[in-house]
Amino acid sequence: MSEATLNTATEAKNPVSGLRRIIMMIGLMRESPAGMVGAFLVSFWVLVAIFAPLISPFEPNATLVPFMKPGAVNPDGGTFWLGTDHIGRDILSRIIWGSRTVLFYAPLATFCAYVLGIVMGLVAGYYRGWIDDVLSRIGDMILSFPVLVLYIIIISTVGASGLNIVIAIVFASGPGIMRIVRGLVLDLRNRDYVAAAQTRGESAWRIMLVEILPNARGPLIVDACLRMGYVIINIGVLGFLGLGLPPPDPDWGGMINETRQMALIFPHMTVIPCIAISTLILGFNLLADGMRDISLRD
Amino acid sequence: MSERLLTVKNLQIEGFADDAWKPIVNGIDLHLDRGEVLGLIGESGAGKSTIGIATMGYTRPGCRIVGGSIDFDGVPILTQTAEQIREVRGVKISYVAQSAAASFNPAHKLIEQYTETPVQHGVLKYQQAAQNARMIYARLELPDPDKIGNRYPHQVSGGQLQRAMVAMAMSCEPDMIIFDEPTTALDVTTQIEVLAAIKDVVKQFNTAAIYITHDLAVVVQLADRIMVLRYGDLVEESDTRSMLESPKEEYTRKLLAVRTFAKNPEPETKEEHSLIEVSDLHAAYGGGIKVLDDINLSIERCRTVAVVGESGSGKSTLARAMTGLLPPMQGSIKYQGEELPRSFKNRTKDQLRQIQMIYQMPDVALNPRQKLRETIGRPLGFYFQMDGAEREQRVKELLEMIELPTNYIDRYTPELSGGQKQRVCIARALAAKPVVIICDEVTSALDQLVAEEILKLLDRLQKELNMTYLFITHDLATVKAIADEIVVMLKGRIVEHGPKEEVLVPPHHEYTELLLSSVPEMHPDWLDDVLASRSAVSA
Amino acid sequence: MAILITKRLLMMLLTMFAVSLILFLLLEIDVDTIAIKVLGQFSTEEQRYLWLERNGYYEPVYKRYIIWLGNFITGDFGTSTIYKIPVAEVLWPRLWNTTILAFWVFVFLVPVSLVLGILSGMREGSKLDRTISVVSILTTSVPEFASTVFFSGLFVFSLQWLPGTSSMFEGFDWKQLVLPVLVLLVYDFGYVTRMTRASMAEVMTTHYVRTAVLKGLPYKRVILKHALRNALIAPFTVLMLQINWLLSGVIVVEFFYAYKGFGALLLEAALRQDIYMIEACTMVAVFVVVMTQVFSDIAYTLLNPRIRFS
Repeated sequence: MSEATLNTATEAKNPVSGLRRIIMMIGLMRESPAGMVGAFLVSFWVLVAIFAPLISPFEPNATLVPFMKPGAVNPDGGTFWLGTDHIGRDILSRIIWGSRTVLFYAPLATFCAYVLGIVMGLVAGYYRGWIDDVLSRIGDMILSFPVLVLYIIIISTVGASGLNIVIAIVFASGPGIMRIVRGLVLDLRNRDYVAAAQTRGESAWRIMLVEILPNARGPLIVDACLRMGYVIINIGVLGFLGLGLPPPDPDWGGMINETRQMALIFPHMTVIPCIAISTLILGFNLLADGMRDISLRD
Repeated sequence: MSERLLTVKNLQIEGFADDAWKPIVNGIDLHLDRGEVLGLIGESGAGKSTIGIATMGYTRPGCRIVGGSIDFDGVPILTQTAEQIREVRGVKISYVAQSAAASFNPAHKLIEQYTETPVQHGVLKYQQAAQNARMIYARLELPDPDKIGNRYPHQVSGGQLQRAMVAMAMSCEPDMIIFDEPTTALDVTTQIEVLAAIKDVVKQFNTAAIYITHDLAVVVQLADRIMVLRYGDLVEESDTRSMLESPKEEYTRKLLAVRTFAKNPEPETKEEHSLIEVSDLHAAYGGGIKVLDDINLSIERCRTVAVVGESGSGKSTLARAMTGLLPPMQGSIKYQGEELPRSFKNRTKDQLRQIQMIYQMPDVALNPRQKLRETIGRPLGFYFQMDGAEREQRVKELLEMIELPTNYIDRYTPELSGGQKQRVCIARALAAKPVVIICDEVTSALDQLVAEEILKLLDRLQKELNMTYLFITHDLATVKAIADEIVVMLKGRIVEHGPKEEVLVPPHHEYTELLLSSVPEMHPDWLDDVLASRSAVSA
Repeated sequence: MAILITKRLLMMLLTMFAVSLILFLLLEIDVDTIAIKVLGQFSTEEQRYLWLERNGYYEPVYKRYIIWLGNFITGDFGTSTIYKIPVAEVLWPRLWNTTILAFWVFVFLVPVSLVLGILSGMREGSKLDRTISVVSILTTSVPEFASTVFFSGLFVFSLQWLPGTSSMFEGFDWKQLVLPVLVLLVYDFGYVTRMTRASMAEVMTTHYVRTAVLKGLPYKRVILKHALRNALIAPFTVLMLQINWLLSGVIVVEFFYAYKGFGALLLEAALRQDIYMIEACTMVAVFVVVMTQVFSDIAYTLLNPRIRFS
């Protein structure tokens, strides 16, 4: 080996293996206290959702004793730690089971929206030309609706159900994701490694998925966290406006809507689901903030 | 006789990288007299810019001064309050940055930015400052000096903007100016104008200066004394002439010897038809702006054809047209007698395989999310259906060919240095077993010593593998080093084309002459000589 | 410049046209449903048939669309099935009420978010920056419907400072406006603050700000003259686009506080399937949003000298 190579070899940074990379990620996360708090909040609710049947003290839909204050004792055994609502359902149990609802629909909707947005964004940004024009115009049009107006029109027309809510969210968020992906692709497609792959004769899909998409993942992960928070808000808003999941299964937004008229006398019924949903959203937003710090260093 | 202006003692600066403070300047001593020009030279990572800017009491974000003292004209810079330092900056010491385009505020007119310093410091009234601005614009030979100040930075060309930056630095007639690579981003023919301007004003106002650059040939034109730096340490210091005549250190000798590498030209081999035959090629970008105008070119097997030109000459577009990335509007490219489809999309896998390209910026030419195994292995799998152990073995062979350790196969590309990345790009091209390699400015993003190693490697590989090179470059030293034939381009046209021996020897085409005479040479009188001979010609 | 404005306006017309087409296809294609929505579930087949016939619903679809669109453009939105009066008579006063609400939100949103964003981006990583960042994440994480509950609990029930509804039955009352404005402000300012911060922080690292510092200019001047001028371009456009978000928030807030505004009207129309009202409200909402996009595009061009003089 020549002397020059040895010289250049010493300039290089230490190699980082895959495992060390993950450890480094956790290490970096530790440096972002906000990110840590976010990760804690999100994992807390995920664990609650997973173990709902084990930790929930009562049946979420069972009508027991109405208007119980937090900490009241159930005559049939057990304690209503967070009280009961106007028809006697245990609020703690409904919060616990409600986390399943939101943590099922929000990730599902976000994921589907991402699949759609990524495919459209890749195609629009990579091929450009008329296909980009058409996709971008359609996207712009959907984005010119105030989000909630769009949800309300869709849901009030097709009816409120879990599936319809997911469809509405995918429809409304897809264009926003497409716009972000497209912007990233427009930048990345000019990198010379893409030119190298093109002149090697690689197929367009391989270039999009292997050469371009992995390099866009940093900003997309951050956006996904933020968007997840936003989707949770929207699911909550729909429930709050009475356009959410049909009763009786627990849904945090719906719980607030059903009890807000009684918030004056029984604030716990309304305030507790508000706190639950806010902490979950906060978790995702803080996580996104931590992720952003990390992706900037990457 | 001379009066001491600046004394820096044991300056230590640290930078924050990879979660720790690491030293980037290790106890440098430095001094400067009134009217003296000191050259700071070194490769990237030498700490030269950091030192220069530290004399103004400033560090880049992520850097900190941890020790030493700086005395400027009796003012202890490092112990001053922010308010006290502010009175020195702009008035006593000013700064000329590498990229004037980025260093001027895009939202304000040039003259507003010029007058701001004297007016804010209470040195001059606005009218007087504006008057001075026009005078100094004229002195620096900016076109239309009375009105150019009313333009916004983006309305002025790069070389002019750099001169306007020099003018702005002179606005308070400071005692010292820090020039931080002020000509690095410019073409050679523009560089010489800016160098002449700097030399002129420094002499005229008897201003002391620290001139920071990686290019020894540039700094010897201006500096009275030179300090060679490496990794934050001083390598050697002496006055310019004695450093050129008798460098003491090995590293300095290497820097001086840079650009002396030259391969022996290959004898011309006449075949029935050329390997590549470009005829009547015209190309334009989206907006219809013509960048290639009637290009005719033939490339013989196993030779190196260097295409040289400045920015905007269309040389890189020629490379993109040949690879099919930018389909030409008209004209043809014949490869081994067969016409190549204009777009890469219509070329066969085998045609694509035989013409490979190496890119200017190795940082963006390699996918940062891939290991070398994938980067170099993909062409093997794609063109030759190699996989498993066979492919692994071949990747390791290629790593050996480009003089990298075989255990690098598991590294991601961001873990490599610039020179190593460029080597990987070469390996990726070699993996396709190409006949032709198009090298687009492959050394311009690299430090000079690293660049020279890359050129030597390419030369060796060419001999071993009988490849043909099309070498796109703006750097005449590279051309001299590696070319068999030279093509000179200007504004999308070929102005001269011939074997190296012919093009480099007078009589030259007018533009070739300008280009050749603008390349700084490693002796202190070069700039004066060139300027003298040019004014003699024009007189 | 004139070309740009014309181009934008044409784009806007095209968008409005497309939106009208979608609305028409979504709501007006199935004539039987319309009849049920307008005449009620208990109308007879015959009544519906006659009504549809009389109102030209058996004409070919394209002809119906053209007439429908023509009525729309001339401001004839049809008759509300809830209020039994022309849609326009309900819509415009409601829109005015919402404009008042939005105006007050902006009066506070602009200075608060710009000042906080600039302070925070000026010294990235400082204590102040981190505090502002955490606060803005916190406030954007509490959805409007939750903050209505929290604020009402605090100001209405505990402190008894403010009324809990904003229906303004007895004429305009600024006290009733406080809570809706506060809720919208608290939710919205975090986003604009963060965008301003990002823009400011980016500008602070540019070479021209370094040039200004090295010219020995007072820090105040570096910020005001060199950084702000460039850093405010992005937040300005963000603020304009904020109208889109505000319209969503307005629905929740007006619903909760029974404020007689546009958002509440749209929701009511949707829930009770007042088809002409839905159409009119949606078109108005989209028009407002598209209009702000046009304005923000033009403003962006005007603020950016690189585009202005090229």
